[in-house]
Amino acid sequence: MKSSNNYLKVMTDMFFIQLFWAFGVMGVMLIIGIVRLVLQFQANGQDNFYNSFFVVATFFFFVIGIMATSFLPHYVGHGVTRKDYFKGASLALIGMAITLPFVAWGISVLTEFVVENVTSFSFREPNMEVSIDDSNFIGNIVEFLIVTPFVEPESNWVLAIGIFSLKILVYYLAGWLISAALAFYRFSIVIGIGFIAISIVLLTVENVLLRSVLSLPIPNRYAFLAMPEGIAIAALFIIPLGMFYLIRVLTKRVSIRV
Amino acid sequence: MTIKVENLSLHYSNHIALDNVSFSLKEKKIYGLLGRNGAGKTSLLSILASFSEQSSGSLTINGITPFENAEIMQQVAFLYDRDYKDESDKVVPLLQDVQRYRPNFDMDYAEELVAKFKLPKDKAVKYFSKGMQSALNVIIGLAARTPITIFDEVYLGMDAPSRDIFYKEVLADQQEHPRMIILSTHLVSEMDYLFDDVLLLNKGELLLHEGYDSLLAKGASITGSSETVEEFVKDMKQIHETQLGGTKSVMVYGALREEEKQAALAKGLEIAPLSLHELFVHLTEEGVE
Repeated sequence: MKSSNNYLKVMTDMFFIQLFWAFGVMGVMLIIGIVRLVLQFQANGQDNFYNSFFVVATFFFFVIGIMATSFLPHYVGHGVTRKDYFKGASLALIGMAITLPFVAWGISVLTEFVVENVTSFSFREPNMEVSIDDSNFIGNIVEFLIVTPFVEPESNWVLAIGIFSLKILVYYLAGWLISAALAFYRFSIVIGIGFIAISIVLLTVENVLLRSVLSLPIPNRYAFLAMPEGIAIAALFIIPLGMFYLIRVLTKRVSIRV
Repeated sequence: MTIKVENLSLHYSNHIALDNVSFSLKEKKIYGLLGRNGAGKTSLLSILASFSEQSSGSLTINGITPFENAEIMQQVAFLYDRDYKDESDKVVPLLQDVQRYRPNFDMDYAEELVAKFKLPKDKAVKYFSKGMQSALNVIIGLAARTPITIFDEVYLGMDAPSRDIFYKEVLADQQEHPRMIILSTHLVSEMDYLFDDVLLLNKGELLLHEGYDSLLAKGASITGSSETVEEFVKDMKQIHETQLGGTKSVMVYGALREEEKQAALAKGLEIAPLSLHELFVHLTEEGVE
C-alpha cells in the first residue's frame, strides 16, 4: 500500500470511530426517549428525535472535536505525516457532518411513525427561541451558543440539513482548534485562553450570520454584525475555512511529546 | 538506508538537549544508544522518528529530511514507554490497526509473539500490566519490520524472562530480516551482547560511536602496586581508580599497544578488560573529560 493513501486510511478510521461514538449517543437518547414515553413524564409531549439530537449534537461535536487532537500523536507514531492526519481528519469530519443529520432525520421519521401509530402520543413543536433581552450577559452568550438556528426538515429539508451540517461542523472545529492550541503547550496559557475566546467569537458570529440569513430575530447586542445577505452567506463558509486553516497552522510542525 | 546526522542541536528555552551531534549509520546492524538520564537519547530519537524538529543542524535518511516526508516516516518505527491507559481495543485488533499503516507488517509473527509474551487476547489493552504494555510495544516494533526500528527503553516494567524473549527475538529477527535496530537503554550489562555498534551520548553531546568489539578493546584496568600503576598510566586517559592498601587499580580508555601490554606484564602489572557497563558508567561520570 502506498503511503500517499494514508490520509484515506485516517479518514476511514476516524469516520467510523466517531460514527460509532455518535451511534452510542443516539442509542442513549433513544433509550431515554422510550423511558420517558413509557413513564409519560411529559404530558405535553416531547421533542422528536431530530430536534433532540439537533441540541445534543452541538455538545457532542464540540467534545469529539476536542478529542480529535489526541489522534495526532497516535498517527505520527504509526508513521503518518501531520498533513495526512489533517486531511484525513478533516474529510472524516465533513463526512460525519453530512451523514449524521440524515441519520437523525431517518430515526426521527421512523420513531414518529411507530409511536404515533402505536400510541396516542404526539410530539411537540420545537422551541428554539433565544432570549433577546440583554439583562444577563454571560447567560445570554451561553444560551446563544447552545440554541443554534433551527429549520424543520419537513419545511425545507435541504436548508434544514445544510444548517445542521454547518452547525456541527463549526462546533467540532471550535473544539479541535482549542485542543490543538492547548494540548501541545506550544503557546502560553494566555494564548490558550485566547484561542478559547476566538472560538467563542467565531461560533457567535456564525450563529448571528445564520440567523440573519434565515431572517430569525437577532439579539440587539449583535445587531452591529448586520451585513448584506450575500456577504453574510460568504462569511458563513469563510469562518469554517478559516478555522480549518488555523488548525492546520497549529498542527503543521507540532512536536509529539514522548 | 543511511542515517546522516550533522551538527544536530536541540535547544529548549532553558536547556540544551542536543549539542552539535554528528554521526552516520549505514549498515543494517543493531545499534546500542547509551546515555544517562537526560543525556539526550529520546530527543535524538524523536527527531529521527519525525516526532519533533531540531533547532539547528541536519538529520537525513537516504539524503532526505524525514520530518513530514510520508515515504520516509512510514519506514521508521519509534517505540517508547507509551501509556495505553485509554486504549479500549484488544491486542489483535490493535495490531491489525498498526498493520494498515506499516507495509511490511507480519501479522503471523505478531501473533506468534503475542503467544510468546503470553498477552491475553480477550482483555482490553488498557487493563494490561505495565510489563504487558511494554511487551506490546516490542511486538509492534518487531512485527512492523520497518527498515529503521527504534526501541527507546521499551523494556520498562518487563520481568527478566520477558526481557530475555525480547533480546532473543531482536537478534533472531534482525538476522532473518536485516534492518537497522536502535536500542536505547540503561540496562547496559544485560543488553551489551546485542550491540554491533555503540553510540554514547553524554549531556547532549556524542561521546563516541564505535563498533562494540573495538570499543571494548579500548578499555582496560591496570592493577598492581600503587607507584608502578601510577607510573604506567600517567600518560593515559584515566577514567576511574580504586585503591586498597598499597594496591591500586586504574581504568584507562584508549587502546593499549602490544609493547605497552608486554611492558606492563614485565612490571608485574595485571591487565584486565573492561565491560561495556564499566566503560559506560565511568566515561559518563562527572569530572571525566
